[in-house]
Amino acid sequence: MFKHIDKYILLFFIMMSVFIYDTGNCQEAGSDPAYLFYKGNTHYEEGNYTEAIKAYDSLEQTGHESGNIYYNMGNSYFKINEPGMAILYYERALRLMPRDSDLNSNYNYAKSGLTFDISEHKVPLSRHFLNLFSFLSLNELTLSVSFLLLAAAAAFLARMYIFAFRKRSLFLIFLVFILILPLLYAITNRINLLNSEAVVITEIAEARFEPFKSATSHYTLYRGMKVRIISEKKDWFKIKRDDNKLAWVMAHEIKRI
Amino acid sequence: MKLIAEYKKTIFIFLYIFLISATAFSEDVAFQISANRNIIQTGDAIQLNFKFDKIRDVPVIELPDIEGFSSRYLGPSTEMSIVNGKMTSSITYMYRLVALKTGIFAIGPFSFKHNNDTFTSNALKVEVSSLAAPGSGSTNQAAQDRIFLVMEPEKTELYINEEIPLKIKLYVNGLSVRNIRYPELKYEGFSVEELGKPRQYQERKNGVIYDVVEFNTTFYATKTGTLDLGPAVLGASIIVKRQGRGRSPLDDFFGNDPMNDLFGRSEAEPIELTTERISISVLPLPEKDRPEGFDGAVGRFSMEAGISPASVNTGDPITMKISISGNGNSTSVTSPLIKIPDNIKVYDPQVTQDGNTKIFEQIFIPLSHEVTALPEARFSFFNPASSQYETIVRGPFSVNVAKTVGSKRAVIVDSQKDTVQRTAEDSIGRDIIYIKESPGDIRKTGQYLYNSPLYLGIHLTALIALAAFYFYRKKIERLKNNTGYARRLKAPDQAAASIKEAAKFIDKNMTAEFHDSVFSIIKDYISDRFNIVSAGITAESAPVILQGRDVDTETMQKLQAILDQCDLARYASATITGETMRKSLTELKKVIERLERLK
Repeated sequence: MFKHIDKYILLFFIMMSVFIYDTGNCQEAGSDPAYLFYKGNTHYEEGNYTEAIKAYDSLEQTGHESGNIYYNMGNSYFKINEPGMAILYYERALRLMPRDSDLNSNYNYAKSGLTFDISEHKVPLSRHFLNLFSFLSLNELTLSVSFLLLAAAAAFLARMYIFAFRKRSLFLIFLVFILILPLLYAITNRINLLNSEAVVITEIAEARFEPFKSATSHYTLYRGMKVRIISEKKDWFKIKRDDNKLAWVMAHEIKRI
Repeated sequence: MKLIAEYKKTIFIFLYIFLISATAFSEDVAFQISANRNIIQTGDAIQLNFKFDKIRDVPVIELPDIEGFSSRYLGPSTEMSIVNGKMTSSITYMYRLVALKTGIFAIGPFSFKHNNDTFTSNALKVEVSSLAAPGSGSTNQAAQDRIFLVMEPEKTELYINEEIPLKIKLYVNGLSVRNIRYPELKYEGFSVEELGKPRQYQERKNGVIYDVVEFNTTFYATKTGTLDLGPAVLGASIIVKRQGRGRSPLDDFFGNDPMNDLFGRSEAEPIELTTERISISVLPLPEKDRPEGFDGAVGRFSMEAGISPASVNTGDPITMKISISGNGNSTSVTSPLIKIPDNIKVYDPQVTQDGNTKIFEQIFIPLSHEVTALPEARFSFFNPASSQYETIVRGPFSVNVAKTVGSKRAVIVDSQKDTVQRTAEDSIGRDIIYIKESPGDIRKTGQYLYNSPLYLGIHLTALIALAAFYFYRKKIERLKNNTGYARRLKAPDQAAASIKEAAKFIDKNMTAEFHDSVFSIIKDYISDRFNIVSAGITAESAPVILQGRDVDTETMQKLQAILDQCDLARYASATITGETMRKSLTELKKVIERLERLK
């Protein structure tokens, strides 16, 4: 009887490990992305930053991405004095490798040279809470949930086999699910931001009450600021600032992260 | 060989007696000095004895400096004698003197105070003659010193802060000197650099060729007035040949090596050489014509200065590099005077020294695009050779400052999170960190775990597996704990298996066995299905058991028919065909199927 059960457990772990291995190797075969990356690097080393950006762009067009590619693109844009685009790519890189010290240093440096509207708006409390998980990428957050689920499953199995564990297991399982909840909240939030977050790439972007140029300006956005895109209409994006103020900006003034 | 040794020994004994008698003292003198020899050559050693008669509690006497000799305390020796029933005792302190100079030297008299009594010794004369120096080839060096230390400052009158070379030279002629240590210099009111590695050469002095060990350094005065430099003290060992003449009574006691007597013995004798004190006159720097910005630099210097880059944006740093080199006290050289206008921010210079050159690197940040030049650098120093102040001016340096492009501010910025206070050089020239050299973990754009079918599939599979496992486990536990449930579950399977076995009897035409088997199947099935004891089930009781359990009439009739047929075959030996038996078996299957449907 027990032999059979052990087999099932083993099978479960094998499946989990295959999955973990698989996530680490989600890239297609072929050397094209790597070739384009090194080509970009060579241009960068020679000081041809525009050419470097072209090479990295071509790599991006192949439908591939990595934190390092975005980081190098950010550097290249910074070198040609386009800090808005640099910040956009640093933001993209941060989604994939939030703990990279070089990236954080360059990101802060790029941001420090920009003008920001430091007027009234406050950062909402939920953002403070979400910032607690900012050191983890979306995949890492997802994996954390998987491991917590695995821990819960292990506790569940232990409950069936180990009599002494029976009393404490319920509490443990409960605890694991309590831990999972904030993670799920953070994951949901990240997923929502994936296609809605954008960075201002022009030096100044006027956020207006209505989607046309003659409309009254609501507030001014500066290069490098982050906003959320709520909806689209022709050449306009409806956006929301941190303080939940809605406005319209022209599509070419911001770019999705 | 042995004869020569004996002969030498006898001569030494006579010499010893002679020397003792030459230094004989009268009974009235309680403090007596004596030497084992009074005619020696430079580099030779004598033993000097301080003898106190009738008292033994005299402490060890510290020997004063004796001209022409270096001295070393050897140890005490006590003596007791009883003559005509009267006991006398004495103590002798022994010293070893090594002759360093030639000439006739007086040793003593020495005075010594003990228990309010003053003891005064007698005096001795020791004649030190020259040893023929190899390589000197001269005979007129009788009065020359064989080893001495000299201190030679380049000047004895100097200005405060003026750096002066100083030489400390050890002269040796015809002696073997070992273990030469660095000289120790005593001084007050001076700053003396560390002594460099000594150089060795030969020098003719007063017609005699000496081996010279020269130590070089520099010094400067830190206060004015007349100051004493020195003495310098140097420790070394000279190799002394003791050709049996330095024999002591101990040698006799312990015996003597004839080979030593023949060839003599060599011993390293520690010595300490001291130079004269030198009086240095230190002058203050003149107040007259003292230039603005003069900060105490004394010497003769030249200055070079340059800036880089010459074209910058507002807020970008410009480095000014100033090199001051020359002969003089580099410690007194400080940063040149630069008058900074308000529209330029400046950081403290970084100072490095490379030999005689002192380099100042200073960062300037133009805060406005109106800055057209960096101010001049003025360096003033006092030249002791001309006794005048001199000033070198470099600059002003033209710069081209452009307005900062875009919204960059003309300030040095740090990350918001970085709360550590940085030094100026950390902030200056800050730039982005270099690109990544490897592409890292390349993946398809927008592909995340949360939207990966594989990831979700695995989780779903795992969840189903866990649930299945849970229910399976529950079932196993029920089977273990509930016998009725277990019997109920196994009843149809067991019946089906037994029916298969019974069918075999039909083929073999074993009627009785077939019907026994069929009855047994019915009995066991009913027993397991309804969890009752099988022993009490008979052909009569079986329908009764089923009556209270909602069994339909048709099933009851079929079961009754099968049971009746079993009774006939088993007890009445009726002839039953194979066809009938097959039919019975089919009916039995139907009955069991019907009974299985019961709740």
